[in-house]
Amino acid sequence: MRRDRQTPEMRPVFHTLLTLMAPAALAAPLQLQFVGVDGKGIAGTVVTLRSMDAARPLAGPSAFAMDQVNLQFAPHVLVVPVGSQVVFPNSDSVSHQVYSFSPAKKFQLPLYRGKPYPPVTFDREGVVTLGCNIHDQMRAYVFVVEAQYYGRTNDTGTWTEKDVQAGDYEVTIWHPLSRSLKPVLQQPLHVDAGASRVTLRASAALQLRAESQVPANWDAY
Amino acid sequence: MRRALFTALLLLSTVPARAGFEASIDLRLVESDGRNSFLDGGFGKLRFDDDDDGLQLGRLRLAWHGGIGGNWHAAIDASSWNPEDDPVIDLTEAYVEWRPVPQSAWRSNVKIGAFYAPVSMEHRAPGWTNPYTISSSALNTWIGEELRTIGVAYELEHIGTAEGGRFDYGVQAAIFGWNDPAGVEVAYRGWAMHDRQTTLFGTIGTYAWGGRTDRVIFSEIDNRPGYHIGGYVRSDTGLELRALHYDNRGNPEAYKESIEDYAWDTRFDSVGARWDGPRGTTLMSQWLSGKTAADDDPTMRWEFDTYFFLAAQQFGKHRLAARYDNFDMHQTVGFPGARLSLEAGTAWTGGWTWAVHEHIELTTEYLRISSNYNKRRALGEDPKAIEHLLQFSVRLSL
Repeated sequence: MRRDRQTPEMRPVFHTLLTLMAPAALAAPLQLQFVGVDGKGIAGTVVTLRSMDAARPLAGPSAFAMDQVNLQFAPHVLVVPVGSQVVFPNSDSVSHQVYSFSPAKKFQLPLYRGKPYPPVTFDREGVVTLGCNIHDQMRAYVFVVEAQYYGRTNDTGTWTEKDVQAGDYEVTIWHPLSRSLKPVLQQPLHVDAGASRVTLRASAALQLRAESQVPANWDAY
Repeated sequence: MRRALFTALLLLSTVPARAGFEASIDLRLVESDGRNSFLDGGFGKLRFDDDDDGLQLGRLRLAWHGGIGGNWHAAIDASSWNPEDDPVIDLTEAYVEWRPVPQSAWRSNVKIGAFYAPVSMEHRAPGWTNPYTISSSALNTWIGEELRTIGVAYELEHIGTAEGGRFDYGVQAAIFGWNDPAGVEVAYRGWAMHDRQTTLFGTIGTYAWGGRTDRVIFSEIDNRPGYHIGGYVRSDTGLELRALHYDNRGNPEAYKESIEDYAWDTRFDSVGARWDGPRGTTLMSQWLSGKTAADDDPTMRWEFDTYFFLAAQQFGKHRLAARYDNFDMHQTVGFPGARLSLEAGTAWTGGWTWAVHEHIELTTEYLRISSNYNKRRALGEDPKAIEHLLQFSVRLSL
């Protein structure tokens, strides 16, 4: 199962506290849709909302898992707040050797199967490309974010956050298969008190990489 | 021999699925009108000829790969193609590999042992298996018959797509020995189309002056190492290009009594292109052109070239593939008073693979190969042959 967003029980405690303490009028649902130049929703993008108010606390670190199933990472994309810990279980019967040489997090887990190594802490904002040194076709991405709110768009290109506090934000959208590691969209966004719906449109057609569709145990020259 | 196969089957059925261990058995139902197979000393192009209709062993495979400490890995691949072969089960590849975890987009690896040069774009599945059709293209059939890098290869790669780039690329250079007879099959017999790979300590049964002989392909004769150098570029659009130059640097005058063969001086260039589309479409093409020589006799010189196009489409658990092959081989100077030995041919192959279950795969193949080889007259045969093969494979794997 792909788990692209935090499950409710993993949400940072402060988030719940803030929601409980804040006057109801100040926190409201936000529905954000990201569409391409053709007006169609773009699924699977990573969305963050960062408050312009530097005093507002960021989403705190949490614990996540990046599994390896049938020679694939699961999920393909993981979005985690800075400081989060990610454990890398291996559900396959074969060994994997996970690594990243991305500037945001360089690490490697020597060849293993079964019992995972202790979690890896992702302490810098940025995109981390994960690979397996044994199975070159295995690729996954960890987006390490510094933001108050974050998530991924669904099949209709929509991301819904239940309780967004009113205020001025910078919204940033990445596409994991974008030909650039830079965001595909970054712009200010004002969120009113009370439920709101926002549609953001890409300024140009997205140039996406074609990820291999062939089985991960192929092409092992 | 049958007992050995039975033992291997028994072993296969009792070995639990362990890390890095692979085992499979491929059984065939065959219907062929092929001429007497080269494996039986004829000039038939197929592994299964008109005497082989019925149930056949396609391949029994046992393999293991895994870490052996530090940055070192090992891979060993053994197969049996026929219970009558000697040895009945033998290695197709066996090597150790130094493969450190990349610290940047630049990375390298070193392989030591016996392995395939990166020529084939068809053989993508483990065990140098062609997942599109049962029989390989004429080009890659020859690679499986006569080529193995037995030595050391160094590869330097740049995996730019891991850091937001559009391309991965790499170069590989290898120095090898024990591949001196390479070229003898294509020169004497011409091209063939099948899925049998010559094993490291095994032989390939073939035509020889009107009879059958078992040729050793992997042997060092002239004590002179050969090399290959190649490279690839892979774009994030799913397009991959490969090129390779091979030269076994054979000294054609060197002769080895024990295997009754020369050190064939064989060299070739090959290029390939493959595109994996976003909706399960794959298109590929390869071309190879080379020449070979044996002895100091000027008539013992041959040139050969071949190409193919393949299109495949995945539909869920089903994959359909179609391939067109074209091949040519000729002597450059004729034997005195005799015609030049000439071969030309084409083939169409269709394959349908159904992955019924994680451990069961069914493949149906139809192959039509048309060839004109004037040497067939030596056997009193019509030089032009059109051979058909329909085969159905059940592959069970761990």
